[in-house]
Amino acid sequence: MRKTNFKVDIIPILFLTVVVCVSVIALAYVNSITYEKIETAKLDAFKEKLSVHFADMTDFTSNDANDCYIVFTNDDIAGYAVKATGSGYGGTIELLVALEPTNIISTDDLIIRGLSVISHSETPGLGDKITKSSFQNQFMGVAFSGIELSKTGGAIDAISGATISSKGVINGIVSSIEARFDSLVELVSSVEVS
Amino acid sequence: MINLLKNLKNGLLTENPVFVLLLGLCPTLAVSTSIDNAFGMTAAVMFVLISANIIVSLIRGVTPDRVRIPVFIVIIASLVTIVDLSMKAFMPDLSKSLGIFIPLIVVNCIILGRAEAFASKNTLADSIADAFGMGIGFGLAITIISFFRQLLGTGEITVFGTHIFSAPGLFDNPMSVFILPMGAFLVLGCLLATLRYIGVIESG
Repeated sequence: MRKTNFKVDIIPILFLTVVVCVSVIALAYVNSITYEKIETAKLDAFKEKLSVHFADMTDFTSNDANDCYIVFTNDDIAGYAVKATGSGYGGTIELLVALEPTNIISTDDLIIRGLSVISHSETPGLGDKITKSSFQNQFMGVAFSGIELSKTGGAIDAISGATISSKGVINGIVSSIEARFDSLVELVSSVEVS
Repeated sequence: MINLLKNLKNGLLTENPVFVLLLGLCPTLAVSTSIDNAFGMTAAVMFVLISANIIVSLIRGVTPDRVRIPVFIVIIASLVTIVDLSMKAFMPDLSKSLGIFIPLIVVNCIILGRAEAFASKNTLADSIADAFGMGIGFGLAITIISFFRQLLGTGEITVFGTHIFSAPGLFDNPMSVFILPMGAFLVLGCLLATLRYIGVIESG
């Protein structure tokens, strides 16, 4: 075994260490400048998605898991929103379901106010019609029990050629709202108390 | 001065990274769906390419040969992260449509290739000129591809919300295949063939 040579063996290690330290400092600096702006931009983007359904929205609050929301117009509750995920033909479909400000005791009291797709990977030209208003508007004003395909007695017509995508949206809404209903009720009651 | 011009022309034509070297094809194919994306991607790549070439050229005398590739990668990755964070902060819409392809500039071979093949062996001025040439060459290529894909795939050309023109007939019945990944290969293939046929670039 040859002897350790300072120039050949140690200098490269030191040099790379110095380079990494300098970049870490530079990145920490950039992050400190941009962090707040990125968070505001994210919040603004989400606010815009909510305000599609609640035109008079002035503020909103969310639970800690960030999947249930209450929308306010001044101090009055304008409605609720729940994040939903379903599995479509090409992968996960992320949805935002807006709900009317009804008095909620059980899921039967829920009335859908609107629907928007946050992200999806459905086939362009077929399944991606779930982002079109002609599909989404069907959900407006439908009671929670009516969220089902029309061929099984519900109020929603599937997109022709994209039954799996349509079902993915419907199953996503139903299962996510059922799973998150308790947290929504909890959030609502916490707001009413305070 | 002549040297600088030569380096510029080198990047634009004789060694155009996309059309001749066929480097950096991943972003070229993936985000060339609209001219907006092409401009955004070009700006990001230009910034990283120029800064990386400057830094690599400046430290070329002290960089130990054995760790030069890790050093280049660290420099490039940091620059890309800076671009990614700034874009998310100041241009959230653009950042959303370019998505994962901004972070992926790290593994874009144009940038590592120029750092290794050019900037680590040449003076600062030459390295900057080379980065400009390569950056503009990349931008030109991706913009041309985007132009055809957007025109054929959507039937109209809009740049940053400003409507330039609609192609009659195409607008009502756009050939959406050109917006899909497959269209990128079709356009790139046809462009390469045409450019070689008319002799703008030499076949290797």
